[in-house]
Amino acid sequence: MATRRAITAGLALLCVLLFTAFAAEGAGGPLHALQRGVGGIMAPFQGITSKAVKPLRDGWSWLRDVSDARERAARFEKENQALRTQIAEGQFRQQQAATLEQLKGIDGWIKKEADDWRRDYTERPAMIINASPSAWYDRADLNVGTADGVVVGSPVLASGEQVDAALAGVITRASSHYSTVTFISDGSMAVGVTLLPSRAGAGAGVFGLAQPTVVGEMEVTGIPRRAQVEANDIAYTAGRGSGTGLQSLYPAGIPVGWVSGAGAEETDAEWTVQLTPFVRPQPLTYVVVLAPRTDRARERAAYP
Amino acid sequence: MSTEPPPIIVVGPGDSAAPAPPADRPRLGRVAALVVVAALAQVSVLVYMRLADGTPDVLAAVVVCVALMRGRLAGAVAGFAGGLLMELTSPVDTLGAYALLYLVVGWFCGRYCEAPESHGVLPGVVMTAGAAVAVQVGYAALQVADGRTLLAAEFVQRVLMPTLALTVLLYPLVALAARRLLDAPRNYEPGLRL
Repeated sequence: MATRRAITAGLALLCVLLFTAFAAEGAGGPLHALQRGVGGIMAPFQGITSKAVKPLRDGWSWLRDVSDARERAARFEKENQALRTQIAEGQFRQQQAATLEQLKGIDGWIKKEADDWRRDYTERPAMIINASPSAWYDRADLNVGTADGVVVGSPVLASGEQVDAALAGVITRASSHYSTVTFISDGSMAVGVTLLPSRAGAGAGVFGLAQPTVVGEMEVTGIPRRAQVEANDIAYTAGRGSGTGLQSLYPAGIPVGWVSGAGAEETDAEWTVQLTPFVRPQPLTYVVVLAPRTDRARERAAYP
Repeated sequence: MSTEPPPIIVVGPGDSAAPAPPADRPRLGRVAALVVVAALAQVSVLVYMRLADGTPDVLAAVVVCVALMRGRLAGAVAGFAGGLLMELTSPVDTLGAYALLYLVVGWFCGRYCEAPESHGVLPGVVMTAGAAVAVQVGYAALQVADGRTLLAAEFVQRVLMPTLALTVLLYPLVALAARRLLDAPRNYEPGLRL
C-alpha cells in the first residue's frame, strides 16, 4: 500500500514539475524541444494514419453536415458563397484603388503595398495529419515543412463556409517535412483587420484587432463609435498590427470573417463587434500554406 | 496478517464455477499496449470525430478500465503514461497537465477494483463519464488559471456535453477490448504475487 502511494505521489509530483517547467521555459527550452522531437518522430506515423482514416473523417464530416442540413438551405448557401467571394475579391481592391487614387503621386511604395499578396507567396497545399485533442488549442500538424518553403510565420488559408479561401491561421512550428499551424481561433492569436462595409457607398474601412472570444467566435476591438459598422460587413487582414501601425504576419486583403453583430452603449467610445470567421478549423482536412518567395514576405513572416 | 493475494474476481456468467485464469500475471505488457494505442488513437483518429468541439475521450475510458481491472497503482501509472504520451504527440501547449489529470482518474477509479459490486457495466460507464468530465473541467481550470477566458455555458454546451456523450458511447467497446486483453480483474501491487 505504501509503495503504490509513494509511486503515485512521485508521479503526481513529476507532473507538477513538468507542467511548471514547461510553462516557465521559453519555446526554445528542452521540454519544448522534447515535445517537438517526439512530435517529429510521430509525424510520419500520424501522416499514414491520417490518410488511412480519411474515409472515416470524410464520413463523419458528411454525417455532421447532414445533421446540420436543417440549419442550412443549400441553395442559399451556394448563392451566398458566390456573392461573398465576389465581394471578398472585388471589394478590397476597390477600396484600395480608391485610397490610392486619393494618394496618387505621393510615393511608389504605397502602390507596392497595394500589390496582390499572391505575388509574394507560393501556395503550398497541405494535409492535416494531427490535430490538437484539446478544445483549448486550435492547432494542427501539416505534412509540409521548410523543405517545401514553409517557414514559421507563413500564413495559412483554407476554404471557408462562405468564401473560397480565407485566413485560417499561421505556421508556428516548422521542421524539414512537417509544420504546426495555429488557427486564428486559438486563444493566443490576434489579427489586425480592416472592416469593409457590405453596402456600397457606406464609407471607408476601419481598422480593428480581432481576437477569439468564445469557441468559434471573435471580437474586434478598437473600432471607434464614429465609424460605420453593420452586420455582414467583411473583415480582411489589414496588413498591420494593432494601433501602433506595426507590421503583421499576414499580408493585407485576405478575408477573415463577417460581422455577425455590432453594438454599443450610448456612453461607449468603441463598438463591440462580434466576428464570425469564415474558416472553422474542426472540419478541415486540407489547407493552403503561403510560402514566402520575396524578401518582403520573408520579412513579414520573420516579424515577431 | 495473511500474505495471500487478493481474491480473484471473474466477471460474467458462472462466476463461482469459473476456474482461475491460467496466467496469474498482471499482463502489464498488455496494459501498456492498450494505453499506447489509446493515446495514439486519441491524437491521430478520434480528434477528427468532433461533435461541436468535443471529441470522444478514449484515453479516459481505457484508464478507467485499467484501473477497474488492475487497481489503483496500475490505473495511476496508465493515466500518467497515457496523458504524457498524448501531450508529447499532439500540438498542445502543456506538458504534465493531462498526465496529472489522467493519473488522478486512474488512482480514484482503481479503488473500486477491490469492490466486487463495481465490476458491472454501469459503474464503468458512470466512472468513464465522470473521468471525461473531470479531465475536461480540470484542464479548463488550468487554462483559466493561465488567464484564458471561459464562458461556462459555452464550455458546457460545446465541449463538455459532446465529449461526455461520445465517450460514454465509446466505453462499451473499450471495456470489451480491455476485458478480452486483461482477463479477470485483479489488484496489482508491487511485491505481491499475482
